[in-house]
Amino acid sequence: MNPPVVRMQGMCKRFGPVVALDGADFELAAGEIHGLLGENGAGKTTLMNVLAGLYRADAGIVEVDGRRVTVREPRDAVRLGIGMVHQHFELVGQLTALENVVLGREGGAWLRRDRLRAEVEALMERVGLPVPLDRPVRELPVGVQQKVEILKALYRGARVLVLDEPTTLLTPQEVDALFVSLRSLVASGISVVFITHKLHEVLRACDRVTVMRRGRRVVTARRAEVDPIRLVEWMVGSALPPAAVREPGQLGEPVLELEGVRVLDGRGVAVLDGCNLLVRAGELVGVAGVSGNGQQALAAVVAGSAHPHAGQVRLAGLPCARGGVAERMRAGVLAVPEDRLREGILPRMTVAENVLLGRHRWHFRSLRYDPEVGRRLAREAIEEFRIHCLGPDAPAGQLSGGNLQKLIASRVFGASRERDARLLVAHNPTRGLDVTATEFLHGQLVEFCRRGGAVLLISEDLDELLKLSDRIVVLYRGRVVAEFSRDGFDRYAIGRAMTGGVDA
Amino acid sequence: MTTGAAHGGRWQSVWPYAGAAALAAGLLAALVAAVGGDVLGALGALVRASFGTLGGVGQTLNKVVPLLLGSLAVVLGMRGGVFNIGVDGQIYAGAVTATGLALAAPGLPGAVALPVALVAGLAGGAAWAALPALLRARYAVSEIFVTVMLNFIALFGVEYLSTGPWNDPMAGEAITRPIARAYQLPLLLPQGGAHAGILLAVLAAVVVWALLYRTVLGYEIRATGDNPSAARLGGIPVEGTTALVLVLSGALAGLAGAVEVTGFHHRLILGLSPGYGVMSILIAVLGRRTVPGAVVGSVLFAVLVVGSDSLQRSAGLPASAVFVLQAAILLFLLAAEGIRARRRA
Repeated sequence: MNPPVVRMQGMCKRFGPVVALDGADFELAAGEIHGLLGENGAGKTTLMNVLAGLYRADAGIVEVDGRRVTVREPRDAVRLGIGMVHQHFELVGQLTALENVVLGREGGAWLRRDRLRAEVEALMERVGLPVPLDRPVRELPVGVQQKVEILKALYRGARVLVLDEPTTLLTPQEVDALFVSLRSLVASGISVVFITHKLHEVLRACDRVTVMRRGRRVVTARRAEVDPIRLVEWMVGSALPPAAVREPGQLGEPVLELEGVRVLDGRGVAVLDGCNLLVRAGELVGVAGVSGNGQQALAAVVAGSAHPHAGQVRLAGLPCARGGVAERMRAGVLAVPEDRLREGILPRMTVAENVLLGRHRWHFRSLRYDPEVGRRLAREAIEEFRIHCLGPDAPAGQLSGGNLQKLIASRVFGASRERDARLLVAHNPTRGLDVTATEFLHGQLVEFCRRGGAVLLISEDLDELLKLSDRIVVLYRGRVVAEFSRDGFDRYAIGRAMTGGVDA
Repeated sequence: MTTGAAHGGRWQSVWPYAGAAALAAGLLAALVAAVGGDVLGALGALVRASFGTLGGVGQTLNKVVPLLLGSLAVVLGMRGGVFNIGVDGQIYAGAVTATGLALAAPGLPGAVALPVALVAGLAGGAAWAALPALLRARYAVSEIFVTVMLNFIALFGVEYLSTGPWNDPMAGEAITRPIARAYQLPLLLPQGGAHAGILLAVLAAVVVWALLYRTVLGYEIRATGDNPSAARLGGIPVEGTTALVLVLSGALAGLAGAVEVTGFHHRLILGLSPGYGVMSILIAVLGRRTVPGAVVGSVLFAVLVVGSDSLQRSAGLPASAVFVLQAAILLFLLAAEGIRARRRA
């Protein structure tokens, strides 16, 4: 029998005091799609980053095609035929797809476009992954950008392709297309590692699955041998808390109303253009849409960090003053920002100082700042939200993505309990969260609604919207183009509306 | 870093600095040898000149004052997300207001004169920083450009004042008439020539630290500096906070100018700041944007400047060689800091 394409044994990696890999093993067979499943912080991405040369392991053996290798830097990995596509693409937006694919491999000082094009076209043909080569990448849909990333890795000679959470940003249709592409890649002799924390993706797309927990491999199994319940047990190491269930409650007065809201971005382009929306007390309204269709502006305009250029935002029937976030917070609006690193976290400040952000306005009555207040709140948050960190005084920037999101959630829900919060705007609140943390956060959202709060949930995770929403509206090019009530939810109809398809 | 695992790392982070020190010593030896001086004697003289004698200590302390106030100004700015490159201009602005007051009202009684002059210095520096602060807050104009431009304006303004209306006709250079005794800072170490400005500088360090870490405003300043988007979503008025930070930073630099006038020169001179602004930025960066780092860094820089200046006398090094040495040491230190930061990553 052939040796595995990749074998990793006893991999260890620490980041300061945090043990990310604790003797992890992994084998990838030739020509398979191998799911790498685990909760946040289980070590999936770290393990693959070691393989791709982005991190150096502290201990462990890596073999490629049965030969022992050392991967010190990304170049070594490329030479060994290992390519990785990260969650956040590394593409140059202004360059065309062709230019991106050959970037760094142009071969000489002159750009011999015809020869390069012929090569890339041959590659696309061979692996069955066609993309339009001459459009600037930033004009392409996310799913196509992803294909460009994959082609880039293959053009550099990758035989092993690692995809880190590749479905996060895709519509259901794009996910289907990705899985078809992966099959044709495998048929052309490529082996694929598919990092995910979504069970149904593993069950749909993978030949084998390796489940990781706490930096170690729990099990490797064939798809036929696994079922969702066992996968979850392997992932979390115990049974799950009961899932949050939406029971349609009593709807109250309108809390949030948007009427003809228009928002221009820095270049004067309308990112929200005649947006109408209504959320009532006790109602959870989900906003579906492909990223970049005005979600950010919608969240900002509700949270008060942006102002409409035209139209009106009303809270509890009253037009909002232009007072900004502070005024909006006083009116009972809380926000879970989308981009946690950019908008949610003070990376060089401590966990305690982060937990306090926004709430400091009411926790300190005088000018004096008492660091103990933040520490106390942080200890409670760490306990309640199971934030993995070294304690209240750890720098927030050291936390993993999932733990940062928990930190932000603890801040927002903490604030909602301390103040009379009426409206919660959450933008991709569970992106990157593991199963346990997602369930917990969903429970908090549902509970907030049950107590009469209104929730505007903007999410790219359609499953999440389908599970939690009373109503789903679809945002496309800055306006609401479709609306579905709970008894009329249809995944594919929503997906079509997300891409601008006309659908009754 | 308190865990056992970090101990190896601590030594790792010392090596780059040890390397920088060795390189600097090697360069010094080479320079001294090149002019035919006594290498070991020069090193001894360097130590004696900066802290080996009472006079040396006095000189070093006097040098610490503007460096500490200046680096505190930069640290405060950086913490609040503004890069104040205009420390030099604000030093001159504070020196001008303090001197102007002293020259305009020479008869003010002693108990009032000095405090008023120091406050005038604070106000002068603050006013000089107010324009870039306003432009940044209202129109998002980068403070970097505006403060740099204002440095030139302040410098040429001082040239005008010191050679024109305030010129001391007896001196024949670009210096103003002396200020009255009531405006002069008392000496702290009369034998060493150290003036009481060091007390003000240390007090300023304590005040800046307390502002940043023990007031709600300080929390908002740090949040704004760390991530303005997150701070804004936390209800903090980011623009106003940024502007305030730049004004306060300017006030600290203005105080440095007033102290140089009232404590050291007893008049306004054109060369009042031999690049204190740039050195303050270096100290702030090497001190990792912290108040204790600024204190330690200012003392080290003062020792370096005073000690290497003395090499002109003790080892016969030309002044330009001393500047080369100082600049090279700074470069080594910055490189060491960069290497240390990379190793940690």
